[in-house]
Amino acid sequence: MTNKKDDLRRLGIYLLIVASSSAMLFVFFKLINQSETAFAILSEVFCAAPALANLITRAVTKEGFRDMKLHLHLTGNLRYYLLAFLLPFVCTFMSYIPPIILGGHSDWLGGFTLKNIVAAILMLAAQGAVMSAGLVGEELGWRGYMNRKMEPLVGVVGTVLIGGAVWSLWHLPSDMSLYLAGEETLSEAMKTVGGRLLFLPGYAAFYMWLTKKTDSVWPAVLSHGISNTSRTCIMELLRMGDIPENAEINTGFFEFVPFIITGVVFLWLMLRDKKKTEPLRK
Amino acid sequence: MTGLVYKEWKQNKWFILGMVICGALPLILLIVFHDSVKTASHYQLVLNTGSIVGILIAGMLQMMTLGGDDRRLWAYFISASPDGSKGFIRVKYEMIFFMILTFLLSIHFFDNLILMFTVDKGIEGVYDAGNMVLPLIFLQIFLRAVDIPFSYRFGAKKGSIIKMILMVLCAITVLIVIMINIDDLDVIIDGIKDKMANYSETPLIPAILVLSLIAYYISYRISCRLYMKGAEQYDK
Repeated sequence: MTNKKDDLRRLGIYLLIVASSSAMLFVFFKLINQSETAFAILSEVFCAAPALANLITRAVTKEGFRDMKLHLHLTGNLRYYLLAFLLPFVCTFMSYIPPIILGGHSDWLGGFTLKNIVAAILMLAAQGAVMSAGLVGEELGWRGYMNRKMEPLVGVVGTVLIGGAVWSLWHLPSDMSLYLAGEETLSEAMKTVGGRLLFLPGYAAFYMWLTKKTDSVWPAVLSHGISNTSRTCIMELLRMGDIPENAEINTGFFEFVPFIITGVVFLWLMLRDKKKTEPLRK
Repeated sequence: MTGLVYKEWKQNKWFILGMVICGALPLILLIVFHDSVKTASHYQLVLNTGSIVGILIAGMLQMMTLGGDDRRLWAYFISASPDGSKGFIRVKYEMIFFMILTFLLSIHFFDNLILMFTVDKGIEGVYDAGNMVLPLIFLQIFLRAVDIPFSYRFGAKKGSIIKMILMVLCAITVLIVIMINIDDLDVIIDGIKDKMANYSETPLIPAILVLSLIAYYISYRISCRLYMKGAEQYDK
């Protein structure tokens, strides 16, 4: 009981800090709009907020800094690292390409030659290995701390859904920035927010599974980096083909299907693993 | 393993934190020369010079973390510990890789900060040094992949001399190849420039970047094999 109380208190402090980081961008919105330098500084602080929240909560609650899940744990876990690299690319590919083919625009895919795809994957691998490190600012907080405090309180399903929603809503300042700048309607901004709420829990389940399997946040960091750059990579490949300038690559709900499937599969895997380990604990 | 990470942190924390300062070098240069930096070309010069000098100093600091471990007693002690010499070398490789990443994040942040500052000042035509820094980061990873095994096999001092001799030999070979193909040099350079500019259209450049990462892993395996051989030649 005491453990649950402690977890709740720690989770509360953690969430308060990350919520403040989101609120900070709304508070300083005017300043951000006026000064690019202020934007550069505040956006970096915002991106590192989950990791900072982890460190501050540990310091404030005197929890200590053990078990931060910062070891790479590469030995025996290379397949998880490989999956962390491949799955976001496959998911992004599946969210864009099948709808284009089903929409009768397969002629847009002229850039998807073997040579271009190999070049894109190699570039993604190289960039992912070095550039994704910056995402430790997020993953150290979400997977390295929040999930672990949330799971004893709300279970695996609750952690994926609530944690995924918290993670999505934390992005509100960036999702609402165009609306606040008067460049987008409220319904368009809400569409972006809703879309994020649909696909991030899928990734939340996958990253949580990766972190549990490897006991490290690094596969989640790598996967997060790859998922962020995969979209650009797919768009680059599309641009290489015969795609009309005014072509709309809006795949609607279909865009979210691969992420929802990913979420369901990894949630099921975590529940199965939990069932297996529970009798042992008893 | 945690103990080894702790040991590396205690021994090298200033070198590790130095990575952040190396990344901040363009900003430091800008602060020092703020009176004379006025036009876009001045800012670009500060960005490029700061980034290159930062990379060179960062590389030097990374190599300095290898000093102090080339003692025979330490080699025997660590090989008898539960993690063994492989665990020790793995932590060393991981630490140097994280140092490179820390430097990259730092330089990325400070370069971006300077760029945004120029936008605020209404100065146009300053470009991100990131396009130049990223390939150099992979070059740095490759150079460390070459440096570290030499350092473990022959000790920090002797290793760097042997590496230097080999590098000079390589440079002479490259110069001879260039001299032989001096008439086609423009064509070759244009070809390289073209490949760099359109890197996404050909697997060659991305493959070279990935190969430098693979080289770093192979270097770790080589260092594991060479370490105990090298330990026999270390000072007590």
